[in-house]
Amino acid sequence: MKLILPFLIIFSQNVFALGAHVHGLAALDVATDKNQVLIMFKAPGFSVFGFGHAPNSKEDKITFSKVKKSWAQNEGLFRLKGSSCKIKSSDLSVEFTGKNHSEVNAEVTLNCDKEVKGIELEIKLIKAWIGIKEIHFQLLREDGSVVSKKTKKDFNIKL
Amino acid sequence: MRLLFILLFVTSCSHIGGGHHHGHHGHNHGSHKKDHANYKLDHEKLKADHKKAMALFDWALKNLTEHEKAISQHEKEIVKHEADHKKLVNDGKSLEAKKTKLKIIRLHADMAEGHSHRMKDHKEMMEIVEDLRKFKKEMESHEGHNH
Repeated sequence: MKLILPFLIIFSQNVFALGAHVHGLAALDVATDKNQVLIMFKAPGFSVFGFGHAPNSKEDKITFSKVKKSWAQNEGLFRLKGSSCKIKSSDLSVEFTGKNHSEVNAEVTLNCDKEVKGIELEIKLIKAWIGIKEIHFQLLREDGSVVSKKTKKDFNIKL
Repeated sequence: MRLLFILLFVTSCSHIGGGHHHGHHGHNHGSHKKDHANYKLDHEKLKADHKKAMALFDWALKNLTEHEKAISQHEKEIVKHEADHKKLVNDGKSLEAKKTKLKIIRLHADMAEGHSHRMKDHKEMMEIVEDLRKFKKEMESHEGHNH
């Protein structure tokens, strides 16, 4: 069986997918431009809702709409310290890719009352959505530099 | 490693084993009958094993073909990736350009991870293929002696 296993691995991976589907993992990207902050989020549905299937039960549907609302209204997910920001645009979509698999793609653009360069961004996704265990984070700063980190805790980062 | 060898051996060389058995038991009629009954039992097993082997090889061929398609898809993605990169340089520093840049960085990381994973798997597969090649050579040399 040891011999057959590599065959199984190499022949079954025929799709060059973008991003690994790992429950508990989330990708978070942030870019800034003057007084604007763009936040992009991608994760398996399981990381966000605690289940990968389409919401069937009443409980699932409540969880589903709570998550959607929290993203749409930025309820305790992101905060820029010392700056007042409003949501310019926001979107969260869920693609169901299998019986118990789904992918969440979300994006939000914030318009702030001043330039965001140097301001601290507070990220509280892990606290808000308990299915998230690890965040792979990238920040593209105004000057073009990229900061990336992998973390299992919520964190603050200077934009 | 042994499993596939046994499978292949059964598939390609069943006739050799039959010849040897026949020679060892002399001319006793009772012994011949017993041998023949055993051969029949063995043949049933061989046929069942052949079916399994053929199904496995069919599967391997089908999946190799699919893998070839995936490689050409990856090559298309590389071309697109390079085009996106070129576009990005021309787009300047808008938020939209930064969004594209972040996506490209992630795509590139995924591509690198996927590529390295596949090259590792490929190396393992080629070790198996090399064993098969050696086995084939050995079998061909046996055939040369017997016929």
